[in-house]
Amino acid sequence: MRFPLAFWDLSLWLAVISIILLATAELLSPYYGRTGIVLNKRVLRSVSLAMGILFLFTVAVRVVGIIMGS
Amino acid sequence: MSRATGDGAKLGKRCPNCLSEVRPQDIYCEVCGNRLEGQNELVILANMVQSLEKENRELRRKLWKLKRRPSRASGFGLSFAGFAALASSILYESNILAFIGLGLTFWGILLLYARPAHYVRGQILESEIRTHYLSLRRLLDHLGYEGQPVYLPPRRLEEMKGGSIFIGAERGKEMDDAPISDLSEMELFTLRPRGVQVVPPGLSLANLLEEEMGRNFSGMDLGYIFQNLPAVIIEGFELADGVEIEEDGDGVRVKIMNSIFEFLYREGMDDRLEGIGCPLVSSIALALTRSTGKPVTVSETKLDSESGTINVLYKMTGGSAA
Repeated sequence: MRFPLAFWDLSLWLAVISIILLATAELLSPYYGRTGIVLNKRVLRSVSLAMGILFLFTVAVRVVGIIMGS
Repeated sequence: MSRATGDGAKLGKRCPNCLSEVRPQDIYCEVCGNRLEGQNELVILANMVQSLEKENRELRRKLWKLKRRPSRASGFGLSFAGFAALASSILYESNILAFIGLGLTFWGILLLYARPAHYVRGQILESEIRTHYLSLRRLLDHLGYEGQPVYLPPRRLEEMKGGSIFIGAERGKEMDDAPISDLSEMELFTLRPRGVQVVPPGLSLANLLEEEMGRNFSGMDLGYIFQNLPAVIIEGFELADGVEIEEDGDGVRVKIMNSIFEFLYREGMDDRLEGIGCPLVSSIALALTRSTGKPVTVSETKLDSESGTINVLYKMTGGSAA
């Protein structure tokens, strides 16, 4: 029994999620969109930015790993 | 094609096809060209009922969509399913289950976390605001004060989040007698100049706008306000569909498109209340008076009822708060 996802799987997941959320947060509009679901746009944007930063952190870990390894 | 002649009055008869009104002598409908002869009233009424039912269903669907909110239940449900999938992924060592679990957990938590702020029905807001203006009008009627309302900037440091409206006893003599530095914000009735000071209806809103912008209006120049205030009103608080602020001679002209306070202007306000303005107009007046340190009047307000645009002209008088 072990968690099946590796660090890089999570990194990829974070990248995809942050792109989706950033696009959603920018496209959501209370006036021009027909969203059908009400979310706090500001919170959504901050979450998407947080996910993006987490992804960049995983990239930084990778870069540090490459530098230390060489 | 219509074969109707003359301009006889339409007597409430309707085309059974498109339901537009037709004259009694019409044989064909002017709108859709449908032949009208031979149709009895019952068919027309049945069609009308069908059409109204359809409209009713459409309105119900719209209302349901508007009322729909991401509930706590859906957030908890998604989170629970996500955790279950994550647990299963560990048990069965499955990548796919792990991704599904991560996604569900993430969206569940997001729905719980990103739920919108508490919304209040517009009718409740409207009724509360009406009451405020009604009491203001009664007060002014009782006192018989006719002066043009003047927005006064805060006079002391501890009143930085304040500001008041001075309404003089006589029109045209608002600020002639004494400088405004003599007036204290705490005074309700003033003798020199004779008048009354009331709390602006947009005071709390102005403070909220300041909080959202992260700075005090007194520390902003007019250019900064022109550039940043519309975004906060439109995007931040969704008070209007559009706001344009520009300089106009010695004043400032503001266009507000589809404001949530538009109903006040549609219902009609007397001159004094128009000089105070709706809470949004009032909060912009406070922003201007705090920024410039000068008394501000709402000298002109026009509502374009077709487009729902409120045009407001603010004038800054020469007096200084200092």
